[in-house]
Parts: sequence; structure tokens; C-alpha cells
Amino acid sequence: MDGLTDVEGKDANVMLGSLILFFATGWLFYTKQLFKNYEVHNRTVQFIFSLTFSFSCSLFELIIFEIADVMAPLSRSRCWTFCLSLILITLVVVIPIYTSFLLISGIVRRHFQLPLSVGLWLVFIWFFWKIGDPFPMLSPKHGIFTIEQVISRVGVVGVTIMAILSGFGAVNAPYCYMTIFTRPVEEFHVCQLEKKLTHTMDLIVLKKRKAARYELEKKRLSGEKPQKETTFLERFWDSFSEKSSGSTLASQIDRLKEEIVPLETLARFLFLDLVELRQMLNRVEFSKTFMGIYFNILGHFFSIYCIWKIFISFINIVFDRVGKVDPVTKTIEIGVHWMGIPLDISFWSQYISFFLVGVIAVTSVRGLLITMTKFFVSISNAASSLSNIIVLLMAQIMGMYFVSSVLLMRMNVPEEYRQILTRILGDLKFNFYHRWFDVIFLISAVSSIVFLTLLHKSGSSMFRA
Amino acid sequence: MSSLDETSTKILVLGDSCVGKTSLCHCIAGEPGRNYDSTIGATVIMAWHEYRAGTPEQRTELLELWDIGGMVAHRQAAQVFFEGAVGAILVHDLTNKRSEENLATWLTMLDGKPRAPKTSKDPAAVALKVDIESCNIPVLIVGTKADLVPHKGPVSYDRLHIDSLKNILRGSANSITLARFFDSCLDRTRRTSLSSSFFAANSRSMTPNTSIAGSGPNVTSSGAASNANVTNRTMSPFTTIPIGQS
Repeated sequence: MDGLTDVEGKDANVMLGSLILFFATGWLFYTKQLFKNYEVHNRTVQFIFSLTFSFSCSLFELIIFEIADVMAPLSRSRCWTFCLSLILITLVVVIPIYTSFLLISGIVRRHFQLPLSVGLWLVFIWFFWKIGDPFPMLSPKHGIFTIEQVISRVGVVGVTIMAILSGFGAVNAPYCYMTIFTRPVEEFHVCQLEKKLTHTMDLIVLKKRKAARYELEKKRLSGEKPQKETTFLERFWDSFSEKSSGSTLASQIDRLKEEIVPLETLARFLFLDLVELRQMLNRVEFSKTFMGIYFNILGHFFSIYCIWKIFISFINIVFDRVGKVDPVTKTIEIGVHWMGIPLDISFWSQYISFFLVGVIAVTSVRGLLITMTKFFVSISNAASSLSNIIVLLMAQIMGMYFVSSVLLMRMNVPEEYRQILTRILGDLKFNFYHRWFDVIFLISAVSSIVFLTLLHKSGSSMFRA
Repeated sequence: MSSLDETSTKILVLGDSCVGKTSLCHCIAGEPGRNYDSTIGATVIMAWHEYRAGTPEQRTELLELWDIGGMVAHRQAAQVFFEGAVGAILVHDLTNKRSEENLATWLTMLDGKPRAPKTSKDPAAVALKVDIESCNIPVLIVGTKADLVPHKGPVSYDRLHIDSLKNILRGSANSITLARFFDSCLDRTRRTSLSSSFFAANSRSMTPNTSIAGSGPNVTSSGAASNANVTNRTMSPFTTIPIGQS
């Protein structure tokens, strides 16, 4: 790194400092949120996760720097290349190799672990390459190990994930927050169900008590007199004779055990219903607070926005158009032409797009982290190797998600910044990605609507009974 | 022996998800096994216990171990099972320090006294946070999966480290601590029923968590010892063992 001017040195320090800051944030998030119920045994996974997180956040940071024109252009483009190549290397090499190593180390002995994991990674690379086939990608003439090749494929997977999550989120958010979807649950419903559950548990305890005492007596009786070897014929006749039908201890114990099994299943179902009822009750109580009312109104606006978005993506697909004007310029145009506010377009577009990109970046990072935490905490049972693999998969998804959101950011910023992004990300067919996002978003939103309707209908039948 | 004895004592088994509560209950009941699914709601496991073993008052009592699922989403609903319990076993995983810190949350659920489960690296501070003496029912703390941490040193008198895959050996420190805990739970049931009984004067009142060795001689040294014992048995609603047998 010789020939560094003073400015470039400062820029490099800024970049490095922010990378370290993001790394520390990812590290803390790992211990405090994801693994808040368990100890972290595998520090390598934590390191990889924090590394992916820091590179992903630095991508957003660099876009903001581009718009706000913070660092010198040359050092900016160097940082771009640096960060992009590093995150792509992490997504394609580091995470898959370590994931395959973890998968294999549980199964195979020491000797074969390394070659088998490298072999599994090569299989992954082959599939990764093949993703590009059904889509309009660059042909291998343009070089195999370039950023464009890798990012085009990463972009496909990431855009798919983004669209699925956005589709589901767009439908789920109004469903969760709007009160017209909450069922009328009151305290006495909960009390009724609790009484039912307690009664069932009392029945279970009664039968288990009887069974335990019979078993104790059986043990004492069989301890006192020697075991009689019964022949098959004797046992056959015994099962028919009235003297012993249903009166031997063993048959009584068996009968009690048979009666207990459906009771326990009933108790489990009643308990799950109780959990759901309590959640509903909490939601009803929450909706009466100020926060709840605020979220309810927000939910109404959000549902309008979601319906508009679904409609727009449908129009986009049907009429095969890709949005030409970004929301920033459109807002300013509306402000200037319709409301007559004298705005300097070029001046304001920078600030507004800076603000918009910042908001999008922060909300997508935060939203993804919250979703990951909820998912991970609910499904991870113990600090096993499976939870490590799940964390690595989540890191992979997070990296792909952020790379593709950078890709799709193009749509939301004005023309001059679009050119910058095009220059950085290389010669990709961006329109394809936007179209692909619309298609998957539509599919995901429609299927979430169907799924949530079914869920709502099946749940409400419980309350009618 | 009459088999129509209709009482048993309810003891809760609480702890985070996947610490080994179900395995522990089966181990206490004498049938250790592995591969139990995650408990949803509560399962009841019956265990026999020799109350005051080795004294003239020895009786066989039946315990209900209520193994309550520890999943976070189910925690609020699980409080329906706490009714009527006379003792609680708090279970934590020896390979997972956070499960020990979370015991304070379970203790708060039991008696409603707020305790802040703040993470702390000092084991003594963590132990203080889970102050079971302030709880109004007898509480025992058990650490499971002891076979995975063989290097752990000896524990204090009121805590257990158990390997749930093996039977608890008779006469081992674990079995004595467990027996002492169950006896203190059973004493609470006897004490509340005998408080209005005419024979309350004969039996010294038991405070929870006292050791048997200290209280044994006290009881048997009372004047009409054998008489009191016999009549205690017939008058107390908790025994139906006829006099002269067993």
C-alpha cells in the first residue's frame, strides 16, 4: 500500500473503523440475542457470523457514502471492490466449507473429514454455478471468477429470499396488528379452559396413582410367591375364564395405562389451546393500550401500502414494464408540480435519497435480525451441532439478502446514483432482477393470504364450540 | 396392604427447555432411560419414596412428579399447573450456565417475589440470585447431565449433580439429599393437616429443609413414643396402613 496519500489513508482508517464497529455489533448480537439462553461453545461460527454481518453492513454504508459523497472517489471504488469481493468470498467459500465440515464431522471419522468436506463444497459450487442456467446471466466468455458472475448468482438467490420474506411480511403485518382480525377472547374463556385442563390432569393423576399402587402390590405379591410358569394353553384358558377376566392386577394395570394415553393426548391439546388463548388475550390487551392503538392505525396504512404493492407488481408483470421513475424523483415532482413548493430538484434529491437509503438499510437490517432471533430462539433446543449449522445458514441468508438489497436499491435512487451502482456492480441485467422480485413477491403474498385465511378459519372454529 | 390409598404429594419439576427434567423424573422413579421428546404441557410421573427411612415412623409414600415443559412460549400458560404443589425441584443443565441463571425466573414464577436474573460471572453471585431459602415451599436444585462434565468438583449440601441415565444408588450422597428433600415436602403436608389435630403436641413442628438426623431423635424421644406413632398413623389422613402390618 505505498503511494498512499493522506486522504486515502484517512479513508482507509474510516473504512476499517466502521468494519470493526460492525463486527463488534454482530458479535454482541450473537451472544446477547441469538444465544441468550445457551452458552456459545463454537467461537468459529460466531466469528464467521460477525464477519458476514460486518461486510453486509459495510455495503449499505458505502452506498450512503456514495450518495453523500463522503470519501474520495478513488478510495470509495477501492473499498467497494474490497468489500464486495470479501463478502462474496465469504458467501461462496468460507461459509459453505465450514458448514460441510460441521455436517460431516458428526458422521465420519477424523481421517476422511477434510477431503469429504472439500468434496461436499465442490458439489455446492457446481450447483451454485448451475443456478445461472435458467436465467439470463453472463456467459463464461466474460470470465469465471469475476465479481459479475458470482454476484449474478448470489443475486438470484438473495432476491428470491427477499421477495418471499417481503411477501409474507406484507401480508402478516396487517394481520397481526389490525384489531378486526383479533378474536374476542376474554378472561373467562381462559378460566374455562384452565378448569378443563386441571380436571383432565386430576383424572390422569388418579389413574396413575391407582396404577402405581397396583404395581407396588404386584411386585410384593410376586416377591412372596414364586413365579408360576404358565403354558400357552393355560394362559389361553385363563383369558376366557371369568375368574381372572379383568381382575388380575396385571390386566388392571394394563387397562389403566390404556385409559391414561388418550387422557394425556387430550391434556396436551388443551394445553396448546390454552397457550394460544393466552396469546390472543395478550394481543387483545395490547391493542387497548396506546401502543396498540398506534400499531392498529399503522396497520391500516400498511395494509393499504401492501395492497398497492401487490397491485403494482401484478401490473408490472402483466404489462412487462419496469418502473422508470424512482420514488425520490417522483415525490419531488409531486411536490413541485402539484403543491407548487419551489424545490431545487438536484439539491433535494441527494438528501431525500440519502434518507431513503438509510431508512431502507436500517429497517431491513433490523427486520432481518429480529426475524432471525425469533426463528432461532424458538427452534433451537440445545447447543447442539444442528444449531451451529442453522446459524451458519442464517449467516449465508443474511449475506445474500444484503447483497441483493444493494442490487435492488437501484430502483429506489435517482438516475445519477443508479449509474454509480451499475458501474460498481458490473454489467448485470438489472431489469431481470426487478422482474424476478415482482414475480416471487406476488406468489409469496398470495400464498401467505391463502395460508393466513386457512389458519384464521381453523382457529375460529375452536371458539365457536 | 390396602390399595385404595388415594393421596399423593405433588412436587413440581421446573427448568428451562432441554435441561433433562423428564429424564430426571424417570431416574428418580427408578426407570432411567433416554430419548424423551420435548414435554408439552405437563406429564405426571409417580415415584415411591420411603418417608423417614430408618426410623420407626417409616412409611412408603407416593409422590407425583409434575414434569412441566419449559418452552418460553408456554411459560405463562404453565402456571395453571402450579396449584397445590408442596415442593419444587429446579433443574439446570451442567453444560449450560445460562440455564442455572434462568432458575431465578422460575423461582419468581413459583412465589411471585421478583428476582432479577442478571448475568454474572461469579458463581457465588449466581448462587445467591437463586436464593431458595426465601421461597415458601421447599426447593431443591439439581444439575443434570453430570456425565458430560466429569471434572466438576463436590457440591454444597443442598444441591445435586445427577446423571439421569443411571439409577441413583442407595446410600449415595445424592439419594440422601433427595430423601431429605422429599421428607421435608411430606412434613409440610403432615404439619398442615396435624396443626388442628389433637396430637400436634407430640410431633415437633418441622421447618422445611431441616436434616433428618437432627430431628429424628427429637420425635422418638417423646414419652408415649410408640403409642403416639401408632395413633398418629391411624389419625393422620395421609396413611391408611393398618396397624400391625408392614
